[in-house]
Amino acid sequence: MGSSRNTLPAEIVKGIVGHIGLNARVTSWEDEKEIHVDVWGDDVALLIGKGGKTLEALQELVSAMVAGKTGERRRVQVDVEKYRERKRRRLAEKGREAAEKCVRTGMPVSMEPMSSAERKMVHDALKDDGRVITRSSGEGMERHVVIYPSEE
Amino acid sequence: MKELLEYIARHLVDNPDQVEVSVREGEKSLILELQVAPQDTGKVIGRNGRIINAIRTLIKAAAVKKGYTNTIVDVKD
Repeated sequence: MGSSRNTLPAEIVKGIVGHIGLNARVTSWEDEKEIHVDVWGDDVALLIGKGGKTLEALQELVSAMVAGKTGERRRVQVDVEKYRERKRRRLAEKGREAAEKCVRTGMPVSMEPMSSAERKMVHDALKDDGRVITRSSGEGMERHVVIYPSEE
Repeated sequence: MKELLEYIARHLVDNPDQVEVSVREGEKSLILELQVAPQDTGKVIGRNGRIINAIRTLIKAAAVKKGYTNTIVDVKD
């Protein structure tokens, strides 16, 4: 193995989209932490699904299929038409808006409930904003980000 | 759908040659039954059913494209 590229995740994704009958292009790149597989095509929206539900399922399956075959330790990150990146930008923007409100009013601001991956995108977007502190609050489906003014 | 489920299952298990999928089909419904070697059952179900639920989500999405509005994926035990 060493520094050789692991092409298995991309091959597996190609196999899946081929069996579904989608006309799609699959590209792949990797770093020390993650192997990224990107799917592009005309009718690939079905791989995203409502709120990204199908994409999360695809990600879960491809990770398990890769781990089973090779013992690959790196995470596999599957994206479709850069959906994740667009979502990250949208959530970062929402987080910044909520942070501005928090700074303006001096009061904590609760955001809408989100999945752990979505909450992480908000925490990451605000981690360098010294004016606010972000925490997650609530249980299960109600878990959401709360933005507090920092003490200084 | 049968080939898709077989493809996924064969990549998850230790005994790919023992993966079998049987299909029952109605006008708009599809029932897929997955059979794997007994020691591989946990691999296709996953912790708290995570893997089988991911399989169901993906197969359902793919089946809708083929016109099936009701799709069931079961693991035979």
